[in-house]
Amino acid sequence: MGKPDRSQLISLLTDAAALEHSLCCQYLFAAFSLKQDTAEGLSEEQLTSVVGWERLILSVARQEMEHLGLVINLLSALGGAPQLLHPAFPYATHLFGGEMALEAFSADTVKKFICFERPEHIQPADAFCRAQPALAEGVAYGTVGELYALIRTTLKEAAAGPEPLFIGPLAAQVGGGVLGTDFPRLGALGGGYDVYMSPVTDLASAMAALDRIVEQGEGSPGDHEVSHYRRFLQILDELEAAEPPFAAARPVVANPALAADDPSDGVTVVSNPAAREVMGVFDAAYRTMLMALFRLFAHTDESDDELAVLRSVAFFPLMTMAVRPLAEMLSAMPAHDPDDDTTAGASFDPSTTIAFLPHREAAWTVIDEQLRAVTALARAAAGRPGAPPRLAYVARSLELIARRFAAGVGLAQTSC
Amino acid sequence: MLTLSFEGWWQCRFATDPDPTDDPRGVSGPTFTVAGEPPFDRTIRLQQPVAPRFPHEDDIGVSITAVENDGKTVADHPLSGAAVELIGDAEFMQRNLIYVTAPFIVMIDPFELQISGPGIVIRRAALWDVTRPRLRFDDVFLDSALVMPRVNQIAVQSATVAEATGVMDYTTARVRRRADLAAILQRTTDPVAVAALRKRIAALDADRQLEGARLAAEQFMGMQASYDFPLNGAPHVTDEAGALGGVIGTSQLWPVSFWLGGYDVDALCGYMRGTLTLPFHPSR
Repeated sequence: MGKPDRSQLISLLTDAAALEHSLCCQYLFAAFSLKQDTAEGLSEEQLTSVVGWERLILSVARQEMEHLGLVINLLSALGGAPQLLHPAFPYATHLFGGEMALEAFSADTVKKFICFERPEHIQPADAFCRAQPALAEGVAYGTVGELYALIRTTLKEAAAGPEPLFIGPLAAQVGGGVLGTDFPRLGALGGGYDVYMSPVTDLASAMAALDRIVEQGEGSPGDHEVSHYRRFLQILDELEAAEPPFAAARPVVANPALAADDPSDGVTVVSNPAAREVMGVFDAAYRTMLMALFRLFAHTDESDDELAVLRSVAFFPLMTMAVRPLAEMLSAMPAHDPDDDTTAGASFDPSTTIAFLPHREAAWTVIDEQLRAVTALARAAAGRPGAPPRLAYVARSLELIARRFAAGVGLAQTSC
Repeated sequence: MLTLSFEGWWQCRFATDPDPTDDPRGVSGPTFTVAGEPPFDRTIRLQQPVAPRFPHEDDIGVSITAVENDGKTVADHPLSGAAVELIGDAEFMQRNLIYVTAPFIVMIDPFELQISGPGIVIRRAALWDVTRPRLRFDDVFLDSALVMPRVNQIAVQSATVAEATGVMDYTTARVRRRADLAAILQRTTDPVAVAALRKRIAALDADRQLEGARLAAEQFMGMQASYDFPLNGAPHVTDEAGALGGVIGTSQLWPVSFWLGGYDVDALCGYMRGTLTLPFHPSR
């Protein structure tokens, strides 16, 4: 690499954002594949273990969201654009000697996650990583650790130059106050939901953000128990020690999709009509959430109140009241018609049509229209005979989100 | 004026952020169901708890602790010790920040307070709009004029709550609870009860790993949500034997002022203290 410049940093951070988002989706998919009730063939003791694993995986996924947010703050600080997309699953990666894929929880899946979070000092073979292919020409890093090490080195070199490096407006970044993760308490802020969001203003704060990302993933010498790597090792230990062994996950198909461009692209096309309808709701909700997040992470002249409205759409309710319950419902629905004892799942299809909406008022109108559209989809799906009971609650939540958003940004409220 | 002071432990079995509000079991938030318990139902119960947990198996119940007439304490008032209840499946309304934009605003809907003593029933609701008594929070959550009177104030690490619950050190309380549960586990043989205790212990052990859940747990323990609004619905007073010794006014508003706080995420219950003020004219 030649003299470090802004474009190199932005390129590396854009890669990092896509990577963090991709890992997050894979963790969520595995967590949402887990069984939730003794009626699914688990003993009370087994269910307690399974819920514990789900809790740990979701905690890691939340911190991947935090990493994504921190990387986007870094991008903003450098004058770059937010990156909230990732390739459609599955896709090949040179990072782990394998592929990025949406797969149900299993020992093999957990081993893949352990490889994802492997500290640099652990040998790949000791962390269940497949053989690493030789790096292609022009690829500057072979592991996640190397990617972040390269970002750190490049940042330091660029910051040492005469030109100002951190040129993006601080107000454009998203902190814990906006996201609601700064739980107020005497003497401290942050840590709500295991998330610490911090602004980037200079080299020191940039390095602190990168330290947090790396330490949460790999762990630091004094903090072994809480790293993602350790959490996944713990899950694997418990899973392999379970006596008798049991199936913790539903029979969720890998990489579920509504359509396949090419039969060899590795997706499982879901054919059950009811599941397909819920997948459509999920895709619409996920894309609307990304649209709102783009605007939240690249806001321009929104007031604090308007930012709160954007947050009130994207960060909490769409993630927790739509994306998650829809994904949980899907993993309990037959994937195929006729039923072959497999179940569907969330595609986490980011779609290539989603991009930053640059004009504030137009963006609000687009988001408003999307919210009303996904509400209509959810309501229609909820009205079908045999629809999952929770779907009506999701549809109602989507309607209320749409109403709050429209009122908050001053759009006329119409029925969804 | 008759001023009824009330306090006691209440129960609410509900999933909290970041779990979906309708999550029936609780996974990511600090609250969760355990083996042998029904799914969460989100109902605020001031009486008749469902599957109450140690150490509150026997002490959940809000009751009248003092009665004053025009500022003078009335000893042996017939309402002393009367049960205070919320009628109609009251819930904390937040819906993962859909209803409200700040995390500590937790309005209660429906809100219909009932006090029942020997031969006496006093009941009245707080309505969002007296001209449209059937309105629920879903219908009005964007109407600040209707909502504002019911918005709570919030205090964190509240000394008032600490004095009421006796929890003066949140971290120590969690450590002590873990030890108590472990001791109970030692003498428990029922497999369902064992699974339940193990899950609670595991959640307390996770304080070391999951900082967000620990922070939430500790924050709930010190949180004090204070409310002050009038009951304005149709009043209901039953006192067939005339035990009250006078008449409660029904054309006036009944101000109620109270706080809910000290929520124990492990035991799924919290503390409540407040007053209800009733217009009262003694019999001659």
